[in-house]
Amino acid sequence: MKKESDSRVKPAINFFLTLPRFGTGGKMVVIGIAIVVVLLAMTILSPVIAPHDPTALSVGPADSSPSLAFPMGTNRLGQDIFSRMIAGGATMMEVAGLSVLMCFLIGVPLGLVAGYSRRMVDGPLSLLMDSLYAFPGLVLAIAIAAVLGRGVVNLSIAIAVVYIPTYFRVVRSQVLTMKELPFVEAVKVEGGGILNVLFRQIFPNVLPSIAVIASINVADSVITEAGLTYLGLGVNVASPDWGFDIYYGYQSFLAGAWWTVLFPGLMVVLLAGGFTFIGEGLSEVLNPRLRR
Amino acid sequence: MSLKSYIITRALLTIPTVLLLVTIVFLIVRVLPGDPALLHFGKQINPAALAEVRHALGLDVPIYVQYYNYIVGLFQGNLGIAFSNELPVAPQILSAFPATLELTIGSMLVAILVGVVLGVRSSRKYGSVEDTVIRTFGVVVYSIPVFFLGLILIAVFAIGFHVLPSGGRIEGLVPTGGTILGVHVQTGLYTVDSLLAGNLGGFVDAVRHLILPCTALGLYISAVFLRITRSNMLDTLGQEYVTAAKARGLKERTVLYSYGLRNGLLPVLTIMGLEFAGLMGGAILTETTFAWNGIGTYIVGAITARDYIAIQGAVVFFGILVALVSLVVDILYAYLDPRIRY
Amino acid sequence: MTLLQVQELDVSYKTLKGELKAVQSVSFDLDEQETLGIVGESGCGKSTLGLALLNLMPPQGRVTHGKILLEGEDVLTLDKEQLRRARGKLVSMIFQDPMTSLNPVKKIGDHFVEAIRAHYPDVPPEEAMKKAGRILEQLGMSSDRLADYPHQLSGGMKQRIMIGLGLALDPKLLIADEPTTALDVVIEAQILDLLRQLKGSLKLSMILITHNLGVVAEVADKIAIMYGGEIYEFAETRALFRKPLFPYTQLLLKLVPNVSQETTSLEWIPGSPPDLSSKIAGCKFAARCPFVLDQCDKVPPTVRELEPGHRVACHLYDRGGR
Repeated sequence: MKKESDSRVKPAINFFLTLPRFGTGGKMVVIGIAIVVVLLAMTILSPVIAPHDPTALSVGPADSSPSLAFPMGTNRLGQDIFSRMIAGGATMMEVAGLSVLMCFLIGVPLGLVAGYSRRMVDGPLSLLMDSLYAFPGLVLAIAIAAVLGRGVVNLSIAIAVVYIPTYFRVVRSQVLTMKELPFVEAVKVEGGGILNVLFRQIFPNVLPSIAVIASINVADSVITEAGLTYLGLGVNVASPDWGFDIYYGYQSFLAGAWWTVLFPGLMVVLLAGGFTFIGEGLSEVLNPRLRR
Repeated sequence: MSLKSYIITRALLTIPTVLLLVTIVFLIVRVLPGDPALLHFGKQINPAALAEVRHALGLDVPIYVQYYNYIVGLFQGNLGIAFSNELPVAPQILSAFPATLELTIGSMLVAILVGVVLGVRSSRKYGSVEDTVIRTFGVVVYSIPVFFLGLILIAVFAIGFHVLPSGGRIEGLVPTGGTILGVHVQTGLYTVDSLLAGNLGGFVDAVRHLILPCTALGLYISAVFLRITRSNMLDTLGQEYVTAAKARGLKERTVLYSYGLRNGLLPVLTIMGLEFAGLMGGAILTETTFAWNGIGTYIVGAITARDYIAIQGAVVFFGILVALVSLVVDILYAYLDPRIRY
Repeated sequence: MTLLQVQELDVSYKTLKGELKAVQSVSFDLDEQETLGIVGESGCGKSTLGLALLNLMPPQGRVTHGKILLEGEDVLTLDKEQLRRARGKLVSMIFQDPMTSLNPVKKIGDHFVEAIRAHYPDVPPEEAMKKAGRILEQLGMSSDRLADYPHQLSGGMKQRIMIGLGLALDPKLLIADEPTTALDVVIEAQILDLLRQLKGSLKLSMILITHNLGVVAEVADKIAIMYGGEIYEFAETRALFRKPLFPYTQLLLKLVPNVSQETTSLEWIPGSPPDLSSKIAGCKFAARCPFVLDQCDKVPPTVRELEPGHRVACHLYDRGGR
């Protein structure tokens, strides 16, 4: 029997606390969160734990291979790669975090509104979002980044614009399904206004999907940011950045200094991988596989 | 509605989308803080020369006139004149296109092969160790930036083992193509052109140069195919009509391919269309890594030179290309799944 | 002549919470031209049982114990090819939802041709199509329907097609899993009529799986009452209705509304089906049983044959009746 009509929506927070029980999916989420937390801590603590100043030049011989003094070798400018790896995530995380925030603040409300409103509002919004969505992501980001110039905020905007349509679409389609459900009717019958319905009833139910999308998007943002940096559109050269190191290490790499590219690359993979694990795990947990 | 009316409707729907798309690009480039020409040339250029260049490039008229010229130009296939070399953008892009096309097709093939085959395998062995391994592979590959993957491949196969070239499209001469039915054809696709000219050596050379970049880009995209195929196959295989078909005693292979795969692959087709967009982005990064002279390299060059007209032209080109591909995919889907049309 | 013998069958599912025993210690016999009704509520394992008879469980499910002897041979030991040949030709199955049982992108005629040629590859497609047309006519439908796609037909028509597909290869046993649940009452009556007719004219054995006692009353010779994955009562139809022994059966009978009497309220059984992922000691129905005794939730009841052909597992009959 349908229970929706006689229960109120429970906060989605409870859901997250019960995760580890859920088999492989739950384990993936836990592993992902662990990876991300460790990387985050490492980045925050970098001024304390990095053996050398990541930005200092010529701390060691240029392009020297990994050794005891420099566990990950040095790059063309003689910088210690190990220290740069510890500190290099900062920009990436800032950009990723900022862009997800923008996506969330813009894409989700727009999706809620579009899904709930009539054609007049929904139509143009959806058309705009569909056009943006159809755009090859990196190309759009390149165009915007090239135009806006360097800087954390600009890069975040470039990436956010690419992913806002995804959030929009998912939220909108969920709202479309949900607004017909009995529990929404029930609230309306009891006199709940639109804002109440949207934010207190529908939104909490949409949160799990948003969580999945957000995790995978953060992973994508990290990779996109690395890509943009690799093409020369990245942030300030001065601060250490994994993406920049891959870009800069290309020449040394071709000459045989594989460490200049391998380590920054691995760090990016780790960060993106962590978020992907979270996203994949969440989507497995939320997807009812067993039919009976 | 019949297939024909669906095609017409869908094609018509593409028009506003594309229009919106080119407008967005137009606005992006124009809504700069500052003047595109000035930003490109830097502040050193003397005002008179700047004014001349601006006039030559059509930037000194009001914005709505610019927009009008822009749209009209697009219909004529004119993408503007590049800042950096004062040559028309469209021919430059078109000449760089075949390289990107070859890369894209090759990569899509790799992606589908790897992704679908692994996805099907994984779904059939649901819950087993093999399934977990394949899925982990999918997750890991998804997190690797395509250029990093490319660099690793170069490091291993080109620098390490010296079995494959580290970049470029061909070592020998550019294939000149051949004649079909008396007409000289040169596609710009080195593989096709060398075959047309009967030049097997050239063909092998071209293919050798394609292997690494296509593998990098293909693997990068394959993760999505793997996930979607596996999930769809699991859903489809669990569907009642598959169980019912098995209950009638149909061979497992028949059920798998005729029922499972066909229905399960239809969404894969859509994904293919969507992923094509991602492929374009990835192509840019791959081309940079492998010194591949396609549109990606062109865009990067334009970025470095801050040639906004060239960037605009390339982005518009990509956008329209993706819209067209998505149209074709949708029509194909409608042809294969009657439910959509009726 | 015994067509089917099921012995101590156990079927489990691998779930996120662990192993779930969907079917437990199920045993019964079915003779040729007999119809067995398996009755129970949703989730009691009856559908799993049906699928198990053809070894058709989904990937998460597997048979952990027992034998299924079809004409003397254990279905569970057959290799893939033998199993495939048996399905459709010896035993056939039709499902609950006609909407999802047919392949949406295949025409009706193609479904038949494919099924026929999977077993008789030498039959040319036109022949197979003609046979399909004849089957449709036997079922009261026009052979024009062969050119249609499933979504163009009504529910009743689709279910008839399913029956037609099920019988196309002249099987000896037809398993019908909730064949009328997705249909409205009028169509349901027609389909049941059809099944009764076919039972007689085709000399078919049938297993009818349903939650509705009313449905089996008309068509079945024997009935098995299933609860929580186990069979708690087994008897000939008339005997069951005349003297239901298991409390759950008695309650089920009370649930069938009698239109000729004046009832102002509908009956229902309080409580909900047991959670099979956790181990339940004793009788699975104990939690909801109106006659529950002390030992009911500690010791599982043993099966006793109280009258010839009438078996029940219930502590009420431990010392020869109440």
